[in-house]
Parts: sequence; C-alpha cells; structure tokens
Amino acid sequence: MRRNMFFKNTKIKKDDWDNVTVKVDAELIPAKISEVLNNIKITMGNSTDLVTRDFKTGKDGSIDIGIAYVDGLADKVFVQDYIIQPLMTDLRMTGLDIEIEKDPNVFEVIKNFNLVSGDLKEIIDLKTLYTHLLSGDTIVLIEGYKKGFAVSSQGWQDRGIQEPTSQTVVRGPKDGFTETLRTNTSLIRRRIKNTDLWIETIPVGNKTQTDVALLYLKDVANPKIVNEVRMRINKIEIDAILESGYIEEMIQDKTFTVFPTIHNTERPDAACAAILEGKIIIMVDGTPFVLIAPAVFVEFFQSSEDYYQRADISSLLRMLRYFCLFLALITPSAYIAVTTFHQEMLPTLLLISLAAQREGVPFPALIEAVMMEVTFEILREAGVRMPRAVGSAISIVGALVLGQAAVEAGIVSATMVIIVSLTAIASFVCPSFNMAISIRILRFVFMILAATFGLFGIIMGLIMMVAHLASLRSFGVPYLSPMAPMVAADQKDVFVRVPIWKMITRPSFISQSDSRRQATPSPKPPNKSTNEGGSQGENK
Amino acid sequence: MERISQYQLFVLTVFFQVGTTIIFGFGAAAGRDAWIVTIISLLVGIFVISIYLFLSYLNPGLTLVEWFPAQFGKWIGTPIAWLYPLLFLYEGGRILNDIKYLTTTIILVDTPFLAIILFFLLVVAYLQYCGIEVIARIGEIFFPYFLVMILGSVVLILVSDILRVDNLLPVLKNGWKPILASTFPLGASQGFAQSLELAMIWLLVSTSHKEIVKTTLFATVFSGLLILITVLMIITGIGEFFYKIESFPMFALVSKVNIGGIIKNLDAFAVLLFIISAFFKLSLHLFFAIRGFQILTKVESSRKLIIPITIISIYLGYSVSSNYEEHIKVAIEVFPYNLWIMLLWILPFALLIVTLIKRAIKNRKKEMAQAKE
Repeated sequence: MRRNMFFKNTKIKKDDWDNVTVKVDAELIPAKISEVLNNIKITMGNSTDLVTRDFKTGKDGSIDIGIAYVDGLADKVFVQDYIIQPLMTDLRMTGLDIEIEKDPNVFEVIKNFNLVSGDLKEIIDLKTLYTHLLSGDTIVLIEGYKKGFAVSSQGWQDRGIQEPTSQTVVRGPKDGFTETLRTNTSLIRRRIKNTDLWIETIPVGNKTQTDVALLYLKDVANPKIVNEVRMRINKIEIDAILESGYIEEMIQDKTFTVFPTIHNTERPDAACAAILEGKIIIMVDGTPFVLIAPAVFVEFFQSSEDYYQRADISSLLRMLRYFCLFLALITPSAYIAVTTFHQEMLPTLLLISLAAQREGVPFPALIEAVMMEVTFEILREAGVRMPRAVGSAISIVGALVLGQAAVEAGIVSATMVIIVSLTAIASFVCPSFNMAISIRILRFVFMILAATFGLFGIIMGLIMMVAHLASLRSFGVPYLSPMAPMVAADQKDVFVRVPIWKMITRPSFISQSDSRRQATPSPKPPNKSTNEGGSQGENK
Repeated sequence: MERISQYQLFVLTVFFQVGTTIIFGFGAAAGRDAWIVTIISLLVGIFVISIYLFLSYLNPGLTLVEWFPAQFGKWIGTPIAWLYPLLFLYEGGRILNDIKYLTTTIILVDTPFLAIILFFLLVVAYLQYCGIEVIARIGEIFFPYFLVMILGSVVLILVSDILRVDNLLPVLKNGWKPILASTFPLGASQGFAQSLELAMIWLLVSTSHKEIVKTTLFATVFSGLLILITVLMIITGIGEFFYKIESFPMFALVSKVNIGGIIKNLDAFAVLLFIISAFFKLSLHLFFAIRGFQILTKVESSRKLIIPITIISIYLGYSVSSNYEEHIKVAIEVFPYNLWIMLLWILPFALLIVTLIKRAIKNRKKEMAQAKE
C-alpha cells in the first residue's frame, strides 16, 4: 500500500490483477479430464517439469482417470507406488468393481478404497488446483466429476539439518533451521510437546505464494501482539517473499531507524526459548532464518549459550558484551576527541608518545580514523562476499599491506591501527549480526560528532541515541524495556543472568498471562546440619 | 495520553532539583557555612514542596497553569497562568547560558556560542518530539550512570586525600545573617521551590496522589543530600576563598584529583556529569513551557509549538546575558528577587489561601444546605 503513494500507476495495475484473480477463483474444474489437463498445460505454458497422464481403468476400462504433478516437487516413487499403481492395476485385480456396481459414485469409492494417502483433499476450483499442483501435490481427476483430489506427495531435494553457521555455540544443540518450513516447524514441535503451541500459516506474495507461519504458545503469548502480527502480515501486498528479511522490513514498527526491531535466529533452541517467553516466531518457507517478535534491545546481546553455561560465567560474558558494545561504538571517537580537544586528559608520557607517533602523519585524526575504519569495512565486506579460495589473499593484503605498510609509510599512526582493530574485534562480539551493523553505522556518526564537539559531542550523541532507542517500539513493547521503563523483576536477564532456579517468572513486558515458569522453592539437596553427615539430612 | 511511572517521577525530580547546582555550588555567598545553607534550604524546600503538592491535591486533575484560572477566575487567573510558561522558557534560556559559558571555558575553548547552543537545542528539540515518556525513559537509563559518576568522583576525591575538614571551621563566624540571606530566596528556590514546575507532570504519573507526594518528597531529600555531599566536598577540598571566587568550584575540586600521577585531569568527566544533568533540566524546562503554552493556547498538538519555542530558546540562549559575570550576577542578585519570589512563593501562597477560603465557603454552604434539609 505504501508503494502506491509513490507510483500512482501501480494501483490501477493492481486492481486489474485483482479482477483476474476473481475470475480464476470462480472457475470450476470441468467434468472432462482432457479439458482440465489441457487447461493445465496451456496455463503453465507446457513447462517441461509438468507431468500429466490419463489412463483408463476399472472393468472394461470404464473409468477415465487423469493425473498431474510437477516433476521435482512431487516424490516420483510415491506417485508411482501409491497413486498410479493402485488406480491402474489394483483397481482391476481387487473386487472393487463390485463396489462400483453397488454404488455408482466412482469418486467416493476411489476416495475410500484406492488412494493410499493420509493427506488427501478434494478440490473443486482451478485456483486451488494450481496451488496444490505447485506445492508438490499430485492431482487426481476422474472423468465425469467436476472435482478432483489433491494427494499430498511432496518430496523434493532439500538441505539436511546442519549446524547453524551464523550463531555458533560451544555448548548447546548443534541443529539449525533449514530452508523447508515443515522441517523447521518439526524442530520446534520436537522441543515443545504441548497442545498450546499453535501454528498458523498464511500464504504471502501474489506471485510466489510463500508460506509464512506464525508459531506461538497460545496460553502464554499476548493475544494483542499475536493479532497485531497476524494483521500486519495479512496486510502485506507484494509479489514475492524470498527471505524473512522481506517480512521483517514490511512489518516492523518504525522504518526510519538503524536498529533492528525484530530479532532473527537460525537456532531452534533460541526460537523455542522465545516462544516460551511469550514471543511470536515468524517462519518463512525458503529460509533458515526465522523472525522473533517483539524484540527488545537487550535481546540482541543474549546468546542462547548464556543459558547453557553456568550463571556466573554467562553473567560475566554478558557484561563483556555490553562493554564491547561501548568499545565498538565509542573507541575511535573517543580517540579523536581526546587527541583533538582534550589532550590534557592524557598522562603526559602517553601524550608525548602519541604526539611522536602522529608527527609524520599528514592527516587530522578524523580523516585518519575514517580512512582506517572504511578500509576495515571494505576488508570485511570483501571477506564475506568473495570466493573462499581467495580468502587468504585478503588476510595478507589486510594485515600486511594496509596495516603495517600504512604505518611504515607514515599515512596512519600505529595507535590508530590498534584502535581500529580493537573496534573491529569488539563489534564482532555482539551475538547478533544486524545489531553489530547498526553499531558500525553509528560509529561514523560519533566520529564526526567527536571531531566537531569533542567529548561534548559524544555525550550529546549518546543522549540522542538513547532517546531514539527509548522512542522505538516493537509491536507495542518499548524497545529499551526492561531498563526503561524499569521493571525491577525483569532485571534478572539483562546485565546479569541469574541462575535458572531464580528465573521464576517470564519477562512481564511481553506477556502477563501464565507468567510463572517454575515452582518455588526449586528442588535442592536437603539442608545438611553443620556437624553431621549427609545421611542425617536425608533422613529428615 | 502519555504516562510516567513512579520511579520515573523520582528520577526526573532528582535530575531537575540537582540540575546545575552540583557544578556551580550552592549558597556560595555564605562561604564555609554553605552546608548549613544547604540543610536549611532543604528543610524550607520540603515545606514549600509539600504546599505545592497540597495545592495539586486541592485542584485535582489540573496542571499548574490551570490552577490559577480555576481559583482566581478566568480574567485574573489566565494572565497569571501565562507568567509560568514564560518563566520556564526564561529559565531554559539561563541553562543554555550556563552550558555555553561552561563548555567554552573548560572543554571547547574556541567554539562559537551559537554552535554549542544549536547543537544542544537540536538534541533537546528531538526529545520534545519524542515526548515526556521518552524523556523519562532516558532519565531512567542515565540515572544509574549519573549516580555512579558522582559516587566515583567522591571516591576519587577521598582517595586523593585533598579534603581538609579544617576548612569548615570556624562554623558560623559571621552569625546567622549571611546564612539566612543566601537561603532565601536563592537557596530555597534554586532546585527546591523550582519543583513547582513539576506540577505540570504530576497528573501524568500513573499512581495515586499519595504515592506522588511520597516519591516527590523522597526525591527532594535525596537530591538535597547529593547537593550537601557536593557542597561539603567542595568546601573542604578547595576552601572558602576559592569556593567564593571560582566560577565552577566543582572543577577546581575535580582537577585537584591526582592518584599516582595516572588518574588526573578529570575535568572533562565532570563536564559530562554536568552536561547530563543540565540537559535534563533544560529538556524539562522546555517541556513544561511547551505544555503550558499548549494548555493555555488550547492548541491540540504540542508538536506545533516545539519549533517556535526552540527558536525562541536559541535567541534566549544567545542573549540572556552578554558575559559570564553578568550571567552570574543576575542569577544571584536580580533573578531570584524579581521573578522567583513573586512566582514561586507569593503567588502559590496566595493561591493556597484563596483555594482554602473558597473551599471553606463551599463547605459552609453545603452544611447550611444540609442543615436546611
């Protein structure tokens, strides 16, 4: 809808397209098989992967049957063994003819006695026929009936469940989502065996008809948020959805921000944890990245491993991450501010050392810093995009040519190289890639602020950034919760991760229903009295 | 309607009351007895804030600028109510001046005033667009760091062994007169009686009036103690003489910090502390001004007023005073007597009396009506 504001013409075209769909909707399946099969062939332009077949069966070949499926989407062996075989040969060999003589409704007889499939749907119009055909189902038609069957026969080549590449853990499950929606939902179902785990599927994309699934725990998730997510997905009018990023951009709250307001993950355990917190998972067919909504700022600094390691280790690591966030954001700008405006803050010896290094450098600190940061960004991008085979070349060029040689040539100071590498490494500590990118973008803003206003610029920039964060919302949940607005009970999972037995309630800023997670007090070894053995305690 | 929580009210009240005080010092005219001024001001402040809270109890559902028309009638009350947003705006201009003198003296020596004012106001205006909820939220985020920075500086100052308790002696050398003179109107108004402005947001707090009273008074005591600690540290650290003549006594103190030759020259950090608290005070001043004007002019959206108010603030920030000496002189000798006494003391007390009398008459009438029945 938003697009229409900019391109007036689109609207008219879209209306035309709607009219066409309405026509297709109304078109029912003709009674003659040849007509239907021809229709399919013509509509799909005789595509080579389309397989159609009609044959006669039954006593004296009195029943005409047509089938159609798409090669590659449907499982050939299944179609052969469980659809064609029973219809073509078994129908003659068994006593079904008698059944047919008794009940002239061939359609029902075949449905009840011949199609050996758990998932069988009757279809009456052509639009549904095409949807099923293109999803990998096999269409079975019987002469003389204005309806047909769609037998579920999906069986295409897909990537098996592998270890996720974007979010790795030392300890924790190693399976990751795949490109197939059904596999992904099964990974969730296997972990949450509960009837309250509801899965809704909405086809999105006028051309692609991509399945988008919503998963949530019905008694925990906030129904308002569920409705909101469903409504926003239903409102999407787009021709294609190729990745969950499409959905993310279409449904996020505020489009003008560098911060991600919807989280994504490749890990089923992280998705399950989110579901159990009352969040909603949005899965898109064709991508291993599922969306988690609503998302809050602190979530991007939580790794699923935090909950598998001991609480003290996790708390320490989490604090380290926040520290690294600060480093990644501020280090270059602080360096610029201090060397340009506030030299008096440095101890004298350090100042002399810095000044001596910068003596031969022809650029002001800002130019030097921006130059090196941009260089690093180029290296990083090259590292991600280029073919694996030339990977080592980049590291040689990066480390030697741009690092050491630039210093020796007197273009940048050695300190600046240290600062840039520190910033770079710190930005990779963030467990979430899209948050790290936002931080990297803001880093340049802070560098410019520092070069114009020194520390004053940095602190004002920080205030502005926090104000922006505080003004963001993700599906009605304030982005900075539970820090602002402050919820004391939810501080258990922000800067520190308290032991699991202390996490008695779910985060209240997402959902208030069924908020208790576990019983108190938690199971503990019995209290031992000070001077007696454990057996004494057990006896009590 | 935007809502703020009890804790947010606490944070905003502390930021508002501490404001610029921690850097400029408190009751400097009383010299080494400034800490006594602080305590007396705090007590007077608690008293006067209780009266404001009582006024807000007597005028339920009304903000500060609506009290006067409600009690004095439309024709007398409305002009009086107009004075308040103007006062807030002017005070905002004064904060801008504080910032421009401070930053250009200490951290950004050659930067033109206009650049600093524009940059500062840009951020403040952005906050006004975000609304009071967001202001309260960033208050919540910055408050712990603000406290940690204050505590950190206290620890550093204690560790570097620059405090001399002798500097406090002799107590009351010049008697009570200079103490009382700097308590009223300046001491008790600065920060404490200024909290009258918070009457603009008491309505937005999502708790009962009783809780608001508790929170506000607790916050007042809290910020009073913060100021007291600062004042005591400054006097014992740099002595009476420098306390009186230094433009920014807190900096004089912080710059004396030297721990092993490594941790020293922390002025820039003190500036950051100051900028944060001044920033909140200015944002609140302007928010109250905009809200006051919005209520009085009956404009449906306060957003329309943000740009005009910001432009006026640029002018005020540039022109309220032409140099630092004038700025301080006005702040201590002119401004409290001409504006604060009238607006923060006389008018609210008059309002209280009128309100109580009207209430009494109303009750009497009710009783008589009941008696007749």
